[in-house]
Amino acid sequence: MLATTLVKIYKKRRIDFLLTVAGLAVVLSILFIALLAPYIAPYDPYVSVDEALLPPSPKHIMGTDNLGRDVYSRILYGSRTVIIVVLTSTLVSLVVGSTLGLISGYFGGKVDRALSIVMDSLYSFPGLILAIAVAAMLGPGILNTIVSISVVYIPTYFRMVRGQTLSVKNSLYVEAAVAMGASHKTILFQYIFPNVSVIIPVVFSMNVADAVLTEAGLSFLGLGVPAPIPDWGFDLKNGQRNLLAGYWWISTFPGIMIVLLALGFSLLGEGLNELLNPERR
Amino acid sequence: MASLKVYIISRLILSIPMIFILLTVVFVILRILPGDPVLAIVGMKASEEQIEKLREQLGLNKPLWAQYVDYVAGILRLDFGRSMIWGRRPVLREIMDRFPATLELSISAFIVSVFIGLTTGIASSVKSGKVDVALRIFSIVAYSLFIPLLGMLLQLIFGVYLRWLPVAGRKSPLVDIQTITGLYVLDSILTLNFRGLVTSIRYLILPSITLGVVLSGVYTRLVRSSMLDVLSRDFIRALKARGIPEAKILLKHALKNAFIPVLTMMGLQFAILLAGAVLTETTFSWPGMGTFLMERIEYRDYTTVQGTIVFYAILVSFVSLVVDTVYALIDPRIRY
Amino acid sequence: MALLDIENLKTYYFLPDSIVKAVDGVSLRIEEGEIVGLVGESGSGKSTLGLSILKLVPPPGRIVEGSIFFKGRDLVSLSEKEMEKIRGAQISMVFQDPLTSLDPLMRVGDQLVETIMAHREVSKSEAVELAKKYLEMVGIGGERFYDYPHQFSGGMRQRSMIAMAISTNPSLLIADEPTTALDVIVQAQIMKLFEKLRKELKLSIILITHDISVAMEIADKIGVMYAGQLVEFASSYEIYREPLHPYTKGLMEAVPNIELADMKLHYIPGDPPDLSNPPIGCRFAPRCKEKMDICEREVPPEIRVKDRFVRCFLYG
Repeated sequence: MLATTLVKIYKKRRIDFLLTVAGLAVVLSILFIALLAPYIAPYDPYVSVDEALLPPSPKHIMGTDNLGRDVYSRILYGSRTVIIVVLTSTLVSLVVGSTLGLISGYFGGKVDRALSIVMDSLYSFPGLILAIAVAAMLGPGILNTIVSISVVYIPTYFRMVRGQTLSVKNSLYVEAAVAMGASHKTILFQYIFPNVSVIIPVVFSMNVADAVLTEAGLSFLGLGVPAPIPDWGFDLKNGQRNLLAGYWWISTFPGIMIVLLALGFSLLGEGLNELLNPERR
Repeated sequence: MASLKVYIISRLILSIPMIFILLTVVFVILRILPGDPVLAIVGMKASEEQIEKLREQLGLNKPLWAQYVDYVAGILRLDFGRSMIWGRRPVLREIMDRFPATLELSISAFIVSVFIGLTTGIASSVKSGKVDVALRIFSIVAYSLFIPLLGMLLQLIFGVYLRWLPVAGRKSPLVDIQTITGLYVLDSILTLNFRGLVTSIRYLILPSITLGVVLSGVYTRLVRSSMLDVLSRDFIRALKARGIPEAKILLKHALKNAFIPVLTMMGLQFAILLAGAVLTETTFSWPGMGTFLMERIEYRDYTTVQGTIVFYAILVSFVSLVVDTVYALIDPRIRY
Repeated sequence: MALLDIENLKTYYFLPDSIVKAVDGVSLRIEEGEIVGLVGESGSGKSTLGLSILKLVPPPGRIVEGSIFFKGRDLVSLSEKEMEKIRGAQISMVFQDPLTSLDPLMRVGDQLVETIMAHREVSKSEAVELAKKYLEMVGIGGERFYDYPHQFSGGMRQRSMIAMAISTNPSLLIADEPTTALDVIVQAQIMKLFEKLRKELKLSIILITHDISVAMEIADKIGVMYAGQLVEFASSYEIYREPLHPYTKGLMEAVPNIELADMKLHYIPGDPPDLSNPPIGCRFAPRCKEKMDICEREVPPEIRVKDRFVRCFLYG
């Protein structure tokens, strides 16, 4: 049954299907790498294993950095850091933002007005700069980085879920249900929740893509994951000082990984969006 | 046009609570979060006396609500605090020293992104098939490009291998530019400084392209979906039925209508622009507000950091107000 | 020579899974100063026919066969550029929903001026004067020239669309369900306007509508369409007096008559056929009360009865 639906989608909307699959493939590969990192990494990413600044060679396929660490191993372990930080923070944003949005939209009143205005203000503020402000105050550390990034995206989910909740709440069939004596719980779970769940996957994918770039940005600026934990953004910054002297591999490989992961989630999100809400021409 | 004045005034009045909320949120983030700024500044080895003295200086020994009142009152007086490091210079003045650099970078990056975004967005909506898909993928890739990576690659190619363009700073140290506005390109033109003009443009190219290309990713998608929506509307068919030429329909009618949703998003785009500027400035050692902010964070110049964040908040609100006004100018349905 | 002479026109929509034969062999002739009503239910192909004349059929549809002779020239063979000169200038079209047919960002008067200047050799100020004149002609005061579409009522918007349509002195106006979105009183005003335009400007009008009673009000001749084919074509008087095709009879019976004591609402049972897979033989046969054996085997040709056409085996 699933197979036939997939084939049907492939026939009718080939491009969008391929985009989604491509995005999914990239994401899954990187997740895979993250899972298997300890088994496939040739070296320990924390210690110096050779001379510094060695170019890519069969021994070190992505070369070594300024401290003699194997870049390839740091990339592999870095994927774990990035995935954990990014997925945790977006999930936190999802849960907190959606819950607040649901409550705010459903119950309305003063709470709704107050929350909305706060969330709107946060939403309009530049994301990375907000993360910088929070991270600067909290100090370094993985947990603090997760908090900083979560704060940035809570308003996104809040607004989306609140909007959906409001439109469903005001629709005629819910009014009918209320008139027939449906309880709050019923309305929330049977009517509002299914409607909201449909748009969450798309927003989540796009959101993770953005979060990857925010996390990389924070680490690049020195406010994210602290040394010596392997992290792509941090390593990119680390390689910057030697870049112009020609040691391109220290920054380029982490940078490409950041772009790939963000791209993967973006394609996935875009593809899903086209499939779920097709555009007319 | 009386209704336009009414609209602007009512919009201004509406934005005041928004700015207040934003300032309050900033205050909450900067004061209520865990982490003692005083200890961060003086370190663990300072004596009780020193710590107390600093606390008093910063006003941190007062109750929270008193601090909040001081904070808001200060901002209303345009007093954003004083630097804790550089001889108690007013923060606002220091920000204004750096602001023109960010402004110049932002404007040129904006121009690049709009240019790319409009051309690819329109082309993508009008032509179907392979061109459309290619352009859509291009815009997704563009937005996923990590700014420091793109910047560094451009530096490597154009600065190191080809040696065509400079990689850091705003102008050559060998050239003097007399500043009037702080925008080097404009100032060079105003003072008829040809060498200044050349150098300021050369230094502007790589950072603007970096930021502009990444931003264009967002614009392309926006313009495309907006154009697709407008082109499917009935009045386009009616225009065609009246024999109005295709090009005119596209540029005069479709684009103008498509621009409205794009414009309403411009406020948010500006926020993305500011955020991207921080990364761009850091990558290219561009002496703007972004590098200023990072520098002061490193020095733990707590008051300056707070003042800079407040400045960002007010800047964003202001631009949002301007965007709404422009929107009202374009869409008559709002005014009448 | 007839003003418009359509010969065996076929317009199909090429969908990924099927081909919808929206207009399947229609021939029609319209003279100068004539109002022809094109009547049929949704999906009969009447709108597609109207769009085909101006070659405005949206992809994936296109004209497959046939010719449309307008003042002697076959429109089907003309290029897009040549069509642009004809559209809005010699043949104009107004559509069903006036709300969405005007650019919301431009003043109504300016849109009128734009149309005039696209087709007539006049200066901007002359065009403005003309625009105001045409607005007056359709019953809208000249001072409303400076208003935006959202400030107009539905009836006014439709009238300004009509003003735009006639401002270039066309010979033919195609009106696709012009009053369906408007209330009855406004509908009457628009019909009166059409009459006036026909009389004063010698304008031919094709009035496309699903409501045969509306068409009967002002049309000289009526063409009844069913499932992509023209099943009857006669003067409106003849149709009223003696409808020949069973479908036409059904349509006439379905019109509620306030004077008759019979309170039952008549309707034609069944559904129109799937145009991607039309039945062999007469397309109305499945729903026809008077069908015969031959109807299900062969497509009835157009049969002349006095000076009218019927596509029905009952008559030959």
